[in-house]
Amino acid sequence: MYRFHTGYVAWLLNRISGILIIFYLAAHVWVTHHLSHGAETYAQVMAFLSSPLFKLLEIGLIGVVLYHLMNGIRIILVDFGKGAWMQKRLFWILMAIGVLLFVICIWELVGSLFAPAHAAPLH
Amino acid sequence: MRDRGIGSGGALAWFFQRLTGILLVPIVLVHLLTMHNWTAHGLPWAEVAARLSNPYWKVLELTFLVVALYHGLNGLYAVLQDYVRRPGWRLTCYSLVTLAGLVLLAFGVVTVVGFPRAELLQSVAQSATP
Repeated sequence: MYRFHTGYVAWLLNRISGILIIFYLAAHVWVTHHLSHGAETYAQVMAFLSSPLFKLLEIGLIGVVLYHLMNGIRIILVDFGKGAWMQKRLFWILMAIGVLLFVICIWELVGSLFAPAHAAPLH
Repeated sequence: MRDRGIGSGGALAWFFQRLTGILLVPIVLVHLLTMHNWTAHGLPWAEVAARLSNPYWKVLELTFLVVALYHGLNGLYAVLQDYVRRPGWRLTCYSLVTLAGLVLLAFGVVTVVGFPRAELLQSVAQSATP
């Protein structure tokens, strides 16, 4: 179907991922500011965020961010006149690089999912 | 006032979105691999504090904050413009997005620049007591 060409899906996903990221960024800036309230407040916040749910959400976030980064590189290359003739291939090459970066980025995160709870000292 | 994207082409916004996008690629990767690096022992305060006390990391995180907020909110406003047509509503959207940006910038700057404020106050209080 014409509507579901790679370019249209890439554009739609870029928009959706962008919206998700800006709402995440807002929450992230708010939560992170507890860091400046000292070690105790920070430990409480981090204890809350150490649950598997938040780690799974963070894995999802990293995937969404990497999609936005990789597709963004394609947009910039095409906008500045490089690679428009191979847009579709460029998209899939960048997605492959994105998957590689995803594996690198979540390695520690996935490991920490299975780490025992006492391995997270709250100091 | 001059229309803030109210029906305007927004070539400058388009250009800055690309420019900030390029800047964000390496910054986001460095940020994710360092600040979001949950090792087996989690993300202890001392580790994050030590990194944020370093002026180079401070500058990097501040750059990230400003550039990411600009890129994100500029993008959000661009999306909103596709669905919001009436000038009055567009101005409302623009104002809210700008306000959100300023509030988040304030929180972020306090976190990065004023760090580690609580510990500093503590050490000052301790040295003041005889």
